[in-house]
Amino acid sequence: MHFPSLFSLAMCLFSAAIYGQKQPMKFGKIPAEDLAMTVYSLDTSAAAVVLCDYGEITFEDTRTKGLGINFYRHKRIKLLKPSGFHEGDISISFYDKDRTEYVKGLKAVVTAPNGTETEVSKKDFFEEKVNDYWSRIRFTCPNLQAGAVIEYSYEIVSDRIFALPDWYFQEDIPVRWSEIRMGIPEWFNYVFLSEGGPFKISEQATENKQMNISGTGFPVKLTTYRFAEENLPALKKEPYITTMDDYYKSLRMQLSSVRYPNTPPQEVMSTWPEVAKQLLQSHEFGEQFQKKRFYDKAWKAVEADLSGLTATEKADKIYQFVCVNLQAEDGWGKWVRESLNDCFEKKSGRRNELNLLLIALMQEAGIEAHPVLVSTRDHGKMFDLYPFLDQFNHVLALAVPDGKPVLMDAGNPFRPLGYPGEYALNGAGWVVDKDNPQWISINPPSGSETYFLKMELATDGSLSGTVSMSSDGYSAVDEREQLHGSDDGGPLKKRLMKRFPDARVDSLSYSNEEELTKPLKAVATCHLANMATVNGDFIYMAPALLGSFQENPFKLEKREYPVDFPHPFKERVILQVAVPEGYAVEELPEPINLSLPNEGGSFKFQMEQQGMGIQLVSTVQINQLHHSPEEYIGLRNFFDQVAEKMGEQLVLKRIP
Amino acid sequence: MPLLPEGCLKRNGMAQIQPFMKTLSWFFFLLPVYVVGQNNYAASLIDPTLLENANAVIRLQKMDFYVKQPGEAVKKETLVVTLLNDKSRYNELRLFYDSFNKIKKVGGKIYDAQGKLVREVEKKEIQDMSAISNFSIYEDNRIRYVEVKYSEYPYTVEFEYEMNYNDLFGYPDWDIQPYNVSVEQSEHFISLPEGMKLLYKPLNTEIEPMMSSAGGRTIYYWSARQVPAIKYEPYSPPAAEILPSVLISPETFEVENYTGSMATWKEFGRFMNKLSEGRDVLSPAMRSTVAELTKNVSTDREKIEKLYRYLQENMRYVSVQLGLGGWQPFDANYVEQNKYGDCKALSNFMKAMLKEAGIKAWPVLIYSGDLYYDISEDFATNAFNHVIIYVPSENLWLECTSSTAPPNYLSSSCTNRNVLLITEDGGKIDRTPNYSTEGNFKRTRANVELEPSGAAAVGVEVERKGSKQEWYRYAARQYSSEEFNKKFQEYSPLPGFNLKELRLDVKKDIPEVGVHFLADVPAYASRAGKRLFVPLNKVNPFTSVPQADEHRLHPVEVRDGYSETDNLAIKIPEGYKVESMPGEPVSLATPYGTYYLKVWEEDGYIKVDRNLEVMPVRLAAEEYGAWRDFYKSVSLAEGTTLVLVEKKT
Repeated sequence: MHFPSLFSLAMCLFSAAIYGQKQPMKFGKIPAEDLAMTVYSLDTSAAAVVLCDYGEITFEDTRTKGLGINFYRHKRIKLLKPSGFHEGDISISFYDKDRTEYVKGLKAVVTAPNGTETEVSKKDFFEEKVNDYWSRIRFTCPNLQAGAVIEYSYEIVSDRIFALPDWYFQEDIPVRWSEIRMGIPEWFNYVFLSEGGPFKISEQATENKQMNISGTGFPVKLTTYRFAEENLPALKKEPYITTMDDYYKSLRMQLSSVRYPNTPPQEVMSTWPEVAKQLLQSHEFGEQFQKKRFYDKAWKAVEADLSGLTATEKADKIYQFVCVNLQAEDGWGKWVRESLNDCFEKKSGRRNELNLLLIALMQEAGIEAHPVLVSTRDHGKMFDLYPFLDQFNHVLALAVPDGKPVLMDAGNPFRPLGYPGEYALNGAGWVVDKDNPQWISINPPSGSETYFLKMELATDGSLSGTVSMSSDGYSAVDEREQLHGSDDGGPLKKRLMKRFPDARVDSLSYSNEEELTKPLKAVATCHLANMATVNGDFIYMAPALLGSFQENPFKLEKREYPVDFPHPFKERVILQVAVPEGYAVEELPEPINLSLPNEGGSFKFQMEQQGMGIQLVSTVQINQLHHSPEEYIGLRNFFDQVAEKMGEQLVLKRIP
Repeated sequence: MPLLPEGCLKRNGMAQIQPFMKTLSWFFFLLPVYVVGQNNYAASLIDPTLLENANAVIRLQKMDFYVKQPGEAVKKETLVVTLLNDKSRYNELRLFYDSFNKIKKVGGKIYDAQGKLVREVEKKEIQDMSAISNFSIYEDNRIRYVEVKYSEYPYTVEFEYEMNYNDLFGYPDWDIQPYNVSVEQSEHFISLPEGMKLLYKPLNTEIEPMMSSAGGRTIYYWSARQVPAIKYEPYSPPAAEILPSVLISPETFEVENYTGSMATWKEFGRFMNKLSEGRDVLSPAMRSTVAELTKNVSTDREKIEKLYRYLQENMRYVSVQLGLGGWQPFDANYVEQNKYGDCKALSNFMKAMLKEAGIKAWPVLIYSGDLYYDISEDFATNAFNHVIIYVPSENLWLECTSSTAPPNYLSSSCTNRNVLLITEDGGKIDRTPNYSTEGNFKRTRANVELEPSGAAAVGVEVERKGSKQEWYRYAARQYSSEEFNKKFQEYSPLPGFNLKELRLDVKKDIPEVGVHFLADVPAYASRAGKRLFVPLNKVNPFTSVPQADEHRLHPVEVRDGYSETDNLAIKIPEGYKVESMPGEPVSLATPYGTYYLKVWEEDGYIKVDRNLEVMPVRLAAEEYGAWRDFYKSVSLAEGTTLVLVEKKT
């Protein structure tokens, strides 16, 4: 499990007077050398570069609820090539619900390399509501040309002091300088969470100030901070990663405690056990599965089916009940929006609601069950040092029937018990248990696919016989989804027709379609024309007929980020071919046995003659989920060798 | 790969006109009374013939379009659909609206398989959000959106809504069914004040409207019952040529004080002219820029190229869709000042520059992208989403949103289709060019220095023309060399390789791009024992065979053809000889395409010559098998593996 680091304030902060220091840039004062720049020397391929991004957070009296914050932002971007001009399309989002936040003082200017300035006119700022919570202001900068500098600044006035604005130092274009400063009154304690820290500049100071709140002046001690980074390279998205936000250098700040003058300190974030207690007492979470009136309608519907069952059978029944009766809605969340009964009645709910209903029903049936908070793969990493609830966006259910813990994630009728959705496989989860809240590792079961082909090779190069497929674990979830409602023969037929345009499938059947805990099986009788090349006395055939690794999924020479597979997997191809009469084996591909370091994965390829036939057993297996950029080259080579082996052919020769 | 901003004009989902009015069988009856009545939506009541090929069954679609005056209407629609599986999206309702067109009412209900009401959709489930497409920086479009889910199929959803229109560019067409959806009952009412006329054109249906006049109003009423589903098939002609529908247009309409007519294409073009009237005035500074750019240039063709280059180098494409249904261009000054514009504004600006240089140009309304309906001479309809420019004196087309296209080049999303020229006299139908199979061309020359290990140093020169060069031209401008190298590597059919050199040679004035690269491919061939297995053409393999289909129902259409020529030389490594390679050349000549493959040994190399020509075709369904056989034969010939074996010592 990889957690980002919590900023250790004591260790890496240098003391310095922050507010005495001048800001890194002044609006409109663009240094001549920046205007003249035609190439960014640290990345000559860059189409645009952030010259400077500056943010400042101050606490002030806002018009609505007393103390709030003012977030000042000033950004300067240099355009170098036309492909970077989209950096001139700018969007500023703010939390508009109940006017919690608003934007003021927005101005934007484009400066041509010759110094001519064009200000974006107010009528070209478009404010729009994105949804019930968020709004944004969008504008596009006029007069863009290679060499131009875009500069804009604005302030967001916000009541949201519990979480200060996140600061991302890094972007998908290079950043020359990025800096955030803040002055935090002694009444508030924030926890700093960094990705990629400690930063180049980390400074801290204190100063005394008079602060006006609702017309009354308070003397207050401010702690001021300054964090800055320099010359950050562009980070571009690559496939097989969780989310880019995990990789940008960034700083997040969350309120941990409040201590107003003459009042005792009030913990906002205190401890994991405290958070567990609060969650379990809250109406939108704990009460939903602890107070029967929120789930009794669902319980009534399932209760009768549970009598006489063992705890394990009950858990299974309840899981089936929820999966069959409730459909998953899109969207993530931790909270129950209406009530679990409401979900049951409208036969749908968000996945977290479905899982909380599972917990309610399990507990009612006498099975120990707890919610497990997780962050989905595209929502980013989790961190265990401080109880930030914002890091989670989904809830799984953990039940312990007959002493055997099992994770559940309803919402897909093809996923058996113990198989959370792939989106939720992000390494860990936090169990909301009143007595024993704890982090657990989520080690997902694997997916496996086995093809078994028993074929006869004819002297016209065709193969006929049976192809069987057996899918287990996560693979079976995918295959059952594909099979469901398909009118074109399901995944096996599709695969055969795609791989072999000349295939003729004579019969096809599936079994265990409904028995989710058993492998899904398929068997087809088929005739595959033109599978081998017959030339003179020789017949050549590539024996690895099916399987996913004929091509290397990793084609790039190097990678900036780790590769993250959601779960382990194994693919096995077994082929038995009867050699046509009058021919004998001339040469077979040599066996190979490859491994990734630390049993991270393996490839075995074994081909041998057995009487009048040939047998191939080929197995590709990946156990290690997280592969660092340093390990990437090994992973790429591994799959290169697999692909190469798949291209090797066996050679038969006519017996003279 | 998006070379062109597709759909940069807003389309209301409403359209059309008919230049002549068929004499209808006047069928007088009182105000059409709903013969709807049915309220039992049990799935078991669906006729079995409607379940074939169907993902959903429209139990009832009822459209009531009440025109108050040429610029104002009320639309009420009821849509009841039984979803048989998760392959349709009838459980979602999307209503687009803006400051002119507002939603008055919206509601929904869900019924289970037995037709029992499960629940009503609650107000708070209906989301309200911005409907801004990702290619657009701002529009005033918004969307109301609701999605209901139910756990067991089949189930039935019923949506009802009402909208007020104050921006009446067209009337709702009667689209009876999309692919894979059957219809129990569909009713389409259009009610007009007496004196207003309606124009329509049926497509793939014989159904005529009934008409009635009463109380100072004329009502048109179309109805269909028990329509079986039509199966979707790939490689089909534009959907409007297969699916039944009726295009419907107002004869006169009004948008924000502009009145227009759709009686003829000519009239519609006149309306478009009105919208851009007076918007092509250039500033004095711009006029002198034009003069400067065109002085010392003798021919019109050269002037056009100069001005087009000026536009491409200085003005940026962004989509700005505000007001007048997104149909009125921003004036030339706006573009000059901001140095950006959308397709209308940039085309208008280009036209203004050409006018200043004494060259007449016309805006062209076009549908860019996969064609749904190819407009025809006999019926005017607003089936467009994009604007380009046509210069009649030079027979030349200009795509004004592209900063890389050569003059007179249209990308494959705009070629080979009917378009509307907006001339001084109004609209006129024309057709964009279709580049020949030779115009969309790729020549690959590759040298493969194969090693006994199976590794190879590969050197490739590719010459690309027409549609085969579009992405490279775009990429050369859009990506840094590092990004381009990565994408090139990812899309390449070669197995993992180390790129030694990659160069693009973009010909500025003609649609041609040269690609040159050198790469080390560690596993070009598979090595087993004393043999090497070498794929015949790993540099440019042909692999896409259309799916088998023994029961093809609809015609086959391939709109764009192309041709390829490959010359490969694969070195036979020292100590090896050829054990197996194709003998006789393969030569196919069919109406669907031609193919030629010759493999021979020469000077220590295996040489491969290959020609492929894929023809644009329009074929009867029965020919599907024969057409597919051509692709299959090509794929089979290409799939050959060459076998090299160690010489016995």
